[in-house]
Amino acid sequence: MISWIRAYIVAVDWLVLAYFVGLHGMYLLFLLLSARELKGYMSRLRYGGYDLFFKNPETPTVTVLMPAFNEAVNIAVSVRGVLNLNYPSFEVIVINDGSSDETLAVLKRSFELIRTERSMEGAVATAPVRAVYRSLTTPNLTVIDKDNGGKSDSLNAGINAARTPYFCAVDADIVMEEDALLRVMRPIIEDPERVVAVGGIVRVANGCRVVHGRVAQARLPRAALPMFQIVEYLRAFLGARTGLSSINGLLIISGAFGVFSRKWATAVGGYRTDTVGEDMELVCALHARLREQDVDYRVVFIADPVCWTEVPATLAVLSRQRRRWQRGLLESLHRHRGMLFGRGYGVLGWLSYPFFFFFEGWGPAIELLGYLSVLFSVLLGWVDATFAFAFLTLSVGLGLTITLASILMEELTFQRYPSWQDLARLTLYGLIENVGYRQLTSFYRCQGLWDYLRKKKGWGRMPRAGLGA
Amino acid sequence: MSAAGPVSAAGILLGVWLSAGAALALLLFLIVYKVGRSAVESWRGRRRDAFSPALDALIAGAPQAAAQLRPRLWGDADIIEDMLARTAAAISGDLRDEVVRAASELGLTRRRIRQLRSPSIHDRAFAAERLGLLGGEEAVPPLLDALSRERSGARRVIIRALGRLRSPRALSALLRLLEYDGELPGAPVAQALLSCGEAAAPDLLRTAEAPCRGRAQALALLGQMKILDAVPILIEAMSEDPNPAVREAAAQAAGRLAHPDALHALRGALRDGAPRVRAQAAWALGRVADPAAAEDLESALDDSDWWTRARAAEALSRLGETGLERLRRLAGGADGPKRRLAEEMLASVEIER
Repeated sequence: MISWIRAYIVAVDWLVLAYFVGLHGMYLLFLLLSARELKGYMSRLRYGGYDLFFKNPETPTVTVLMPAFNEAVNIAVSVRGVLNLNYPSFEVIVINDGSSDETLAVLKRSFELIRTERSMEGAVATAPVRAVYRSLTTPNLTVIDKDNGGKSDSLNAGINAARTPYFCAVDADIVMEEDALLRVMRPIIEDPERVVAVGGIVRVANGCRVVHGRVAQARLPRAALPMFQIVEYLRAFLGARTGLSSINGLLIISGAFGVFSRKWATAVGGYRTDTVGEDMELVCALHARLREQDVDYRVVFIADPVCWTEVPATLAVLSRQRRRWQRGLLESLHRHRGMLFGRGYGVLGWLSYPFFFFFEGWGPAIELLGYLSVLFSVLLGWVDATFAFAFLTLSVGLGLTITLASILMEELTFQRYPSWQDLARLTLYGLIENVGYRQLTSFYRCQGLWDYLRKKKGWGRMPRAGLGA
Repeated sequence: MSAAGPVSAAGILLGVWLSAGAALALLLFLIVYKVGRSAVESWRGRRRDAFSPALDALIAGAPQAAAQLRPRLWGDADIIEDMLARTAAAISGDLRDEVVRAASELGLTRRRIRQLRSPSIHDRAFAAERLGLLGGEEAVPPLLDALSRERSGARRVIIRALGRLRSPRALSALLRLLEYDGELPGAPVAQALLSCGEAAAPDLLRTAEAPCRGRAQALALLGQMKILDAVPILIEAMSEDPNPAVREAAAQAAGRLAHPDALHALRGALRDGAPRVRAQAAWALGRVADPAAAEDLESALDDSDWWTRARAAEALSRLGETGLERLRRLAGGADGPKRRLAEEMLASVEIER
């Protein structure tokens, strides 16, 4: 009996080792793809000035949709930030999702809103709209006040009210760069026939100096928890997503900032309201529909920094966020399970989906199981200390390699953290995240996995500290 | 007691060494790269400082200034070109010609013309970008030649460069693209033409006269350039052209020109079959601002299309007292949606005052 258990546990040790090597192998592949993509992107920046699009009479008009639920603290700053974007022609629609705080009152006060008639004849069903307001001081601002229905529902109401061919969904707590919309619209302007969705990079605003709703100076935060997340975001965005985008295998565009074709988003019924991962869900649904109809299309991610967001600064909030992400991820993966090695899905079915399914979806469970089983085997002397040591060094070494490569990529391209001290701190956190932080997030993600299996619903609360003046 | 045989243990150890080695190598590279970059940048900064008096002299029109700019050390040519390009983008007129001539004398133009044949798309596009700024008449034939060969994304950069050069020869080539070229979205061509300014007007008028692929764009451009000669053409297009995009562009141009002759045609366009034409006509009537349109605009408040209704209300508010009188009457006695539209417009007018 004991020998059976032992054989089983030792097999798990090896499986987990293989998992680590596989995971980092995938990351390495994405990094290489991403390096190629970024090289082209940086070259294009040399000759494609944004003045080209700014002065162009045919640069498409965009509607920026900003759902707000109990955002009274930030809403005026955020809306001003969006209104001051550098873009030739755009409209802003703020959707007040039945906030119980002062959100609507603040908006009314700050922008002199009056009630207006505006048709909401869009095709997507939403919670009842109470009223539509127009700003007297700012002609391109509209506010929709509706019953509470969640973020997806609010975005859908915005899609119904929008009249432009593209809309840009943003979070109300986001800090945008002045050129964010120009940068993110660029792939569409250059290839309007094929590009149906574009996502931009999301960076960590904690620690940055924010003035009048703009990041005046990118700085690294003092606290450890946001530092770990910066390293994580660099790896995810500069490494994985840029690489996946270059082969049209992107399965997710961050809900914090993304542009979509209104026609296609409406065609798939807008955002789904019965999931917590509505951003990923929309992208998956677009892929499924467009592949089904055999349309030549592209979903693009651009690595140019476009917006900054406040990441969780406490473990409790981080845990809620990761649990929610994990559950949303698994829900979408389950709903679109037909993609896995599916006919006609190409790179999506053979690379992206399997990666998300095995490594992102179920990975945390394997990882946690691995730590336990290795610990157990070492304590019982079933594998020798060399194996344990090698296991640890290999996982740390591989992780660090990927992280360093991402930092290098940042250094070669956008250089938002230019000082030597920043570089040293990023590297240091890239090293120590492997001991503690990584296991912790795996644990949270396992909780998310468990929530998913138990079919838990809802978002969890995310209190805001405010973005400063 | 080991679960792993000697072979697999060796394999793992190899992996450990490899990954540790890779991490270390990356770290080293990062450091070397950072040191190297700051050294190169400070060197370039020093070279820029060395050339900037000569550049200032060139802009001031001093003779022999171009000779002072001659590259001496490796990398100087790029630095000088950067400086010239930045200057050329910021100035216009005779001074710019001076900069263009300097670039040609220093051999920078010839270098970029050669580069238009490079196998790399990025190099070709960059060369075109620079020629648009520094090339002058000399660069037009090679750019046109490159345009005929180019099928990649560099095409739009070449078109933009041609627009920037404002040469008559480039102009006619651009118009041909606007009229016939189906594979290319019109936007870059339209923008290039716009940057040519009024020089493009006679050719644009010819393009706008008869139905063709680029008619809508030609009309829109004429409106943006405020070419009054276009009025008869766009009146004809607004009522006759079978393509709603053309009628819409004509209505928009009529609004931009705000010419009284277009009034009748615009009032007719308020009853067009296509909602986008009606909305555009309502907007344009607000620009023309002739009280004679008040009656038609008020009926347009019952239009089935929301944009037409909104634009018509806005236009009414721009007709002076006649329009405002009508809005006040509607705000007093009309049915729900119409009343709210009128109230809203009156409130905005109040704010503007």
